[in-house]
Amino acid sequence: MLLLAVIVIGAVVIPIVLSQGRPSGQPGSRGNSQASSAGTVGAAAVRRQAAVWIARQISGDAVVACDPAMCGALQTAGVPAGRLLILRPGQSDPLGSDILVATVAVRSQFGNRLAGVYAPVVVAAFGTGTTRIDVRVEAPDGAADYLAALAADVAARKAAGAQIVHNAAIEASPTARRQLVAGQVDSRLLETLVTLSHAYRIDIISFGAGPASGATPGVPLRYAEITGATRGGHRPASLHTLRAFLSAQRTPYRPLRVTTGRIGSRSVLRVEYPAPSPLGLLGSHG
Amino acid sequence: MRSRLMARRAVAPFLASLLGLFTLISGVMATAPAASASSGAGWIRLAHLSPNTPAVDVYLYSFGDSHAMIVLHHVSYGTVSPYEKVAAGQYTVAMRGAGAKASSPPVLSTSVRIASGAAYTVAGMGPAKGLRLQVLQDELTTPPGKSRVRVIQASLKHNKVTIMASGQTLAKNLPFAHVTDYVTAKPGTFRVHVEGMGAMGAEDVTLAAGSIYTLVVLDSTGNGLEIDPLEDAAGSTVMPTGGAATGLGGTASTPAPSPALWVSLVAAGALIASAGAFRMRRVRSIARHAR
Repeated sequence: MLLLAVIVIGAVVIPIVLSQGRPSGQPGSRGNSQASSAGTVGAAAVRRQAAVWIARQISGDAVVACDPAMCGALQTAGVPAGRLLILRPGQSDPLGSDILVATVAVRSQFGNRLAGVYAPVVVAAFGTGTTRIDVRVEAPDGAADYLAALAADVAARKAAGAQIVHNAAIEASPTARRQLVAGQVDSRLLETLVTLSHAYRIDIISFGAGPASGATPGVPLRYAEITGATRGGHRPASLHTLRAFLSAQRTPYRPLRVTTGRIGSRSVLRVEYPAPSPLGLLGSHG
Repeated sequence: MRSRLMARRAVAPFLASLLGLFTLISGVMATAPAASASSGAGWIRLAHLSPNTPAVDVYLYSFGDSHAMIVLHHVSYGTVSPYEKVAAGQYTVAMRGAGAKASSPPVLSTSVRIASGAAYTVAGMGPAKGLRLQVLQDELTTPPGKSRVRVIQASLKHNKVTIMASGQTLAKNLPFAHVTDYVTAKPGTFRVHVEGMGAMGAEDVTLAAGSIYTLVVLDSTGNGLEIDPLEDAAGSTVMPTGGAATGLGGTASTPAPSPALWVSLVAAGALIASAGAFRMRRVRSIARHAR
C-alpha cells in the first residue's frame, strides 16, 4: 500500500517539478515529457500540469476559458478567478476568452468546431488520449482568419530572421541562426533583439529546445538565452545593463520574465515572453 | 504593429524647436515617385505630428544592420521628411530626445515592413503622454484622370475638425490623431477649409490628375488651424490600368506610353535619383557622425 502511494505521488509530483526546472518558454519540452508520462498519471495530474504551465506562461491579462474542474485547477495554480471564464455544459460556444483549455469535456461539448471554428491553434499540449489537454488560442474572427494571420506572421518572421543573421551586432549559434531563418522565433523577441543591437553587441546562445510537439506548426519560440558580446574591442555589455534595457520595455515588448543563469562557464540572461504570441507585429500597419 | 515605449521615459518631455535636417518640402523631393519605384525597393518618410511633444531625433535602422541608415535631427511638430527609397525589408524607426546619444536607448520605437514598390509614412502621433509611432501605408495609384486625398488630424488644441473642399466634406468631426482613408477627388484647385471648436483655417490646394495627397491639419501659432498639403505620389497616371502599385517598375504587360513620355519620365527620374543620392550622402554622413 505504501509502495503504491509512493508511485502515485511520484507520478504526480515529479513531472511538475521537472517542468518547473526547465526553461519555461518551451512548451514543447514540457509537452514531450508530459506526453510520455501521461499514460501513468491520472487526469487530475495532467490537469495540474496544464494549470501550472498556464499560470506561468500565459499572458497575465488573458482570459482563460475552461471547464469547472480545469478552472478549479487553474485557481489553485494561481490564476485569478477574474481571468477565468467557466464553460458550462450546454453552452453553445466558448467565445469570450483569449485562451481555451480543451479538456476531454470541452472537446466533447464543442466537437470539431473547437479546432475548426473557435480555437484553431494549440500552444501547448499535455497528456494523451482522454487525459489530453490542449491549450488553445481563441480566434475572435474565426479559424480561417487566424490561420491566415499566423501564416503571414511566419512569413514576416522568416524575412526578418533572414535579415537579422546579417546584423553584425548580433551573433548567434548555428542552431539559433537556423531558427531565425526558419521563422521560428517570436516577433517580440526579434524586435527586442534588434533594438538591443542598436546599442549593444549581443550573442544569442539559444532559443530553447525547439517547437513543441503538441503545438501547431508556426507557433513561435518565445524564449532566448543571450549574453553581451565584445564590440570593437570594448567590453561586452553587462547582463545588468541588458536586463535594465529589457525591463524598461512596455507591453507587448516587456518580457514575462528575465532571469540570470549559467551555461557552462558563461552567465546568460534568459528572456521569456508570454503566450499567446501576438500576430502581425512585424507588419506594415500601425 | 505597436510602438515600443521605454517605461522610464514614457512621459519625458522634449524641447520644441525646429532645427530639422529636413524640412517639409512639397513637390518633387517630397513625393514618392511611383513611376520610379523599382523592384525590391520601397519608400518611407518620417513625420512628427504630436503637437505637445518637443523635438526628437529620428533614426531608421534595417534589421540587418545595427547602424542607423537615416538620422533626422531635431525633428519638431509638423515636420514631414521627404520620402527615402530603401530596400524592401524590415526596419526599426526609433525616436530619441533631440540631442540624445545615438547609443542611448530610444524613447520610442516601432518596426515597419517595407514592401517592394510600396510607400509608408511613420508618424509620431497622439499627445506627448500617449505618444505612439503609427505606420501609415501611402497609396501610389489613382483611378485614371483622378486624384486621391486623405486627411491626418494632428491638431490637439482643436481635437475634432471638419474639412471641406468646394462644398464636399472630406472629413467631419475627425478626432485628433486619426487618419481618414483616401478618397477619390476631381483634379483642380480648391479652397480647402478646416474648422473645429471655434477655430478655422484655409489653404488653396491644387490636385493634379493621377496624383495623391495627404492634407495634414496642424495647430498653428496662436489658436488657429492650418492645413499642410503633402503630395504623396505624382505621375501615377502612367500606371497600367489595374496594374500593381509598382509604378513603371511593375511587370504588367500593357502598351507602352509614348516615347516622349518615357523620355520625360526618365529625365525626371534621373533628376530625382541624383538629388536623392546627394541628400542620402548628407544623411549618411550625419548618421556616421552620430555614432
